Amino acid sequence: MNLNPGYIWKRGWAVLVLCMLALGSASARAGDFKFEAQLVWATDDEKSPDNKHKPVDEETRKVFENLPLKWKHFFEVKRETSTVSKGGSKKMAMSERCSIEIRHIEGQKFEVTLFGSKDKVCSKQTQTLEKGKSLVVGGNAPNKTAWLVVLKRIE
Amino acid sequence: MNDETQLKLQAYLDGELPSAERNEVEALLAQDADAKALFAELGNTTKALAGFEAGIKLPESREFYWSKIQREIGRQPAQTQRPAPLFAERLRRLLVPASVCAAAVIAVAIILPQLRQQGVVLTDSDDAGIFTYHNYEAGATLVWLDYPAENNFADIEVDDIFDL
Repeated sequence: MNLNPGYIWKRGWAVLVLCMLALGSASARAGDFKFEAQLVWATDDEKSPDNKHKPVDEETRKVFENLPLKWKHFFEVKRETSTVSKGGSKKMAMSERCSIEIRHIEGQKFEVTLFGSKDKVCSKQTQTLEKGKSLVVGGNAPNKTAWLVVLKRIE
Repeated sequence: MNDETQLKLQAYLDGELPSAERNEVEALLAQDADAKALFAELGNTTKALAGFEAGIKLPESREFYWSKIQREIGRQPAQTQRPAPLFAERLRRLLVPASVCAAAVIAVAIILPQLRQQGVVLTDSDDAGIFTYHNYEAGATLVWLDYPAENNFADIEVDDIFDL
């Protein structure tokens, strides 16, 4: 062990700087908002024609039960997680031609924009999304099915 | 011409004056043109009114006619004075509206939380095809783009969004 005072002094400074950087980084992360987005297909059919699709998790299913959705089965097509910084925005691609953008406005308020192909805006919603709250954007799909994009703030 | 002279002219016309006064009035009519004119006017008025009289005649004497009316009034049952409402009656009158109000309050108290739980449907003012449903209890919001699946919505095919 090197007990040279000069060495200890230099190492001490380095540790202090690293600690400060770590704290700064942590505090920056504390101002971020974490979201989870799911693309879901709603149908009355028990099975999805695509084997990759799996039934939505229990938590998402409960969200659907509390909404006026008539379909019996919900299949998860894709799930994405992203972090939005304070005052920033983040876009998540849900499919090749569908994406969702979350922009932090202030406090717990966010602007959620759903884009279709060629980045055309399908819907734009300003919504208060506290931790654990969900925003579901949906519409009719062929053969009496529906598509849903579930956005949930997880942090 | 004073009022008394005018009244005498009317009485003369009606044949109600004694002979002495009748002579006086006749003399006045012979001398006074105003009195003569008024007498003529009163005579015309009397004739005109006489033509419009109904001329209803009672089939019996006046006394007998009125006695019949009086007897009929006497035969009507006297209005019985209502006794003061009993305590039970007063209580009933109080309780009925009170219970109706209480029922309404209870109904509102039951329905309101359910409505809150069930959520509220709002229509987007900018686009009639977009509905927003808030379920406050579950902390979930549904934005429904209510366009036919086969048609375009916002110039985008549904297949474009849902890339199955």
